Amino acid sequence: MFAYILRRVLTSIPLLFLLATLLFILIHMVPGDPSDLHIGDRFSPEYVAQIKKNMGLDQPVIVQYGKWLRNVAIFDFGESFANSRTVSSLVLEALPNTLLLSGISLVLIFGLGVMMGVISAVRQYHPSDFILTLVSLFLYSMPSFWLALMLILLSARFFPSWPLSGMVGEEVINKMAAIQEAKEFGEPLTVHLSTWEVFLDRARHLVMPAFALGIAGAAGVARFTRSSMLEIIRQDFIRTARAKGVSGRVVILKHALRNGLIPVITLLGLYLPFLVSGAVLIESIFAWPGMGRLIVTAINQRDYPVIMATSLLLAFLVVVGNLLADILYAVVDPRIRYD
Amino acid sequence: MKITLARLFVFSLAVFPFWGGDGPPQGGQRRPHWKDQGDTLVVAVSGDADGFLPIVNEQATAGAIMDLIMPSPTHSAFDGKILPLPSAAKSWEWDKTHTKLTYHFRKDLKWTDGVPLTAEDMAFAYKLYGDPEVASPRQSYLERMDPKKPFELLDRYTIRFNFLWPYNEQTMMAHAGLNLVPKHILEKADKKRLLYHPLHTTKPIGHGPFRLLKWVHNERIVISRWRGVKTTPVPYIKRIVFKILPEYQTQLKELETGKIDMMETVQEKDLAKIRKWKHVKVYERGYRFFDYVAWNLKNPLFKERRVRRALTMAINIDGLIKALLSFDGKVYGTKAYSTFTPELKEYYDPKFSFLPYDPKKARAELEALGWRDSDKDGVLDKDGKKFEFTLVTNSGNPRRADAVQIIQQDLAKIGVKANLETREPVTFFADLRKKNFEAALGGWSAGLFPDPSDLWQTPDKKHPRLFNFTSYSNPEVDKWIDEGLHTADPVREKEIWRKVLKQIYEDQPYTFLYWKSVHFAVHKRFRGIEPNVLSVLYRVWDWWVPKAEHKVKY
Repeated sequence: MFAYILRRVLTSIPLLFLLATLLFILIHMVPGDPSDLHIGDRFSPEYVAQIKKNMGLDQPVIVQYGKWLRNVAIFDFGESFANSRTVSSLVLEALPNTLLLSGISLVLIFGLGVMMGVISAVRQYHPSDFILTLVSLFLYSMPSFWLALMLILLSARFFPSWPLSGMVGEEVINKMAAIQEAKEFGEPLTVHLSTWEVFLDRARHLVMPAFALGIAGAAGVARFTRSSMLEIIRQDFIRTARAKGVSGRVVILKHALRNGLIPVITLLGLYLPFLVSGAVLIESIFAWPGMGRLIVTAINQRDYPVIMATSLLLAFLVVVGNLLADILYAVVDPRIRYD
Repeated sequence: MKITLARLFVFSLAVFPFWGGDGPPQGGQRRPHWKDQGDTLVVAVSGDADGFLPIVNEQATAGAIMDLIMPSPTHSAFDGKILPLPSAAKSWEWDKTHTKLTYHFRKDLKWTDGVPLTAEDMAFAYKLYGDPEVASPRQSYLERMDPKKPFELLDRYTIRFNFLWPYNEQTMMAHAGLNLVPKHILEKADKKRLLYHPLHTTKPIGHGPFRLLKWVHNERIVISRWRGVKTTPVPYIKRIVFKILPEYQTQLKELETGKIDMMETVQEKDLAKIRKWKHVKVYERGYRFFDYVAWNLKNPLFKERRVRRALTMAINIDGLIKALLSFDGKVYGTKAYSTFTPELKEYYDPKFSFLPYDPKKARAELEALGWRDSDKDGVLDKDGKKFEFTLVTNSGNPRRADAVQIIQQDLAKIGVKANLETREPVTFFADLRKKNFEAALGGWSAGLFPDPSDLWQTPDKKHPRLFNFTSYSNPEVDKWIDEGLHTADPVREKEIWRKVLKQIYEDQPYTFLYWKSVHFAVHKRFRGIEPNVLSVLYRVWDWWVPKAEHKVKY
């Protein structure tokens, strides 16, 4: 097993290097460069030349490539062209927000998905199976951005006080501001903000985006689990277990589910990059300051260092996700051995 | 800092002359009392700021916030033209030649960190603005100043700017009116890396009605009223939260449910709906944006002036305005004939004679130039070449996407075939500058200073004129523009600009389409709002909420 992992890790290194090179070439092939955005009130060629020089864009592409590769090797992703900050600080700021949102929707995807899948497999052709199938097909085929907009419309109509977007509500923002003003500017302090209030506010803000982000995935996982479970519960060892007099619950959850989950685990591995990439549309609609928005803004601004760093991070996670899925196979399925 | 009664008294005396603003009180409402101070304004903005150091700031949202936290020698008002008002400078004067401008600074100003603010800070700021190594986007503001001595510090509170020649006074004042920066903080900074200075990225030291409290990237920017301000009255509103909401529909719903108080721009199609909401009021800011079709004059098809005039006559511009800018019986656009906004009343000619919409005449013109439909396929041709070209526009703008389709149909009626193409915005504008297009539908947000040189003068070695997308070149226009930029006599200037604009219209390098008026919406509890073409948050220090209606009480 260990040798297998080591081999896989070693083969990923040239893979990542190739990916990095490809990325670099692709980005430099896209028309326009960051200096295109630096057009001031009145344009002067000297100014753009100076900007290009400051960004290192005046050097030959091959030199830029060499420098970039060297820096990446020591995990230095440089400074963003469009935001006066280092790429790492931008990523480190957006990453936790995205991890929170996609982590919760991942729980939703697999928790709800597997549950729905098991129920509709166990009660095949029962009305509850039909309803679940119908609902999950409906949710699965719905574009997430549309669902997001509908959620906003409906919640604005029926629950006007429910937060529509962002991570922090106006009340908490104002209380935080009042406390900071008291601390820094000596204004009188008249408010109190409890940790519980902040937590509750954040939780309320998470509901809609996590739902919009996760529900289609959950429906997909449900369909997947259902077909995989149906195959398993028809097998001989399940019949044997039942014949032995094992309770129905144990048969389903222990004997069948453990086997039925194997293909679902492949999905889990594939979802790992999603955990970090966030969801561009959902993050924009709900104004969630995460990785998806960071990446899209960077693309619009031709912010090469940010695009490269985030793409590389995602590529890395795809490789790791696949590796993890393979290892998990061995964990859940004793028949699989890597030598 | 405890607010004692004595302090409040002094403070209210200080602001008394400003109460009620310049305009008449709105709808017979009472004037604000000092008790009405407080409440928070939550503004939705669609993108994050880049930073607040005026030397290197580029982005508009940040610029608007910067103007509230960083000092400048003058404020601006607008009444048909920009009018400077005292701010850090209490007065200024011109010499007889109208090339030397002297500012007299107030002596009681302090930066938010307590260090005195003087004309030395202005001299220092201008040294940075003009330094090529700093690469400030505003470097060209010093272009018309004496390169040997653009400015001189006469004493601690007096600074003089030396211009090379007299020109439009408002423009001169703007060129010598950039925001100031604290010398004592930036003196030792690496000037090549000002973009990364904490003054830009985290905590600016400034002097203005507000100061930056918190900036959470991609989420919110909070500014808080500063009682130490001397250049404006102390604002009534206690703080302003700029909430970054990229999605327009989300902004609209948040406005409807009262989570935000203000949207900087609302689309015209939504105005009728918003006007029905009882808690929101819509304000109109005037004409700031216009759309055009640029014809690439380097392309043999559009080389001839008569061809371009014929194409314009084939496009039903009134029809475009009706189709794209009219909603619920109201029209939010007006025909454009130049790049000068109708708000610049001095130069605007309300009786301008436009080319008529006359497809028959347009077709006849093209036929007179040898364009015939010889193969009867509905498209004109000449010497075996069809009158066919690609009309590009940028993606992400539904109005322009509709406009190109209507124009395509209009042109088809006279036998001209326009193929449509949409390009991603950054690429689109880069292509315009590289002149990599045949015809393009684009737009400008008009500046409020009369200066058509970047758009219409012939490029030369010193001035590449990258915004002259069409490669327009008319020696007479070049000469007149130079003349216009060298005159300080308002009457003469007005004559010149009218002549220039008329000639460019005659030449039709653009088919000028329409000016679009812009609107913003604010919660009704805010009073004292004077919509202004200059900025959305114009004189926000005069905005107030009656005590009884305060939403945020802390």
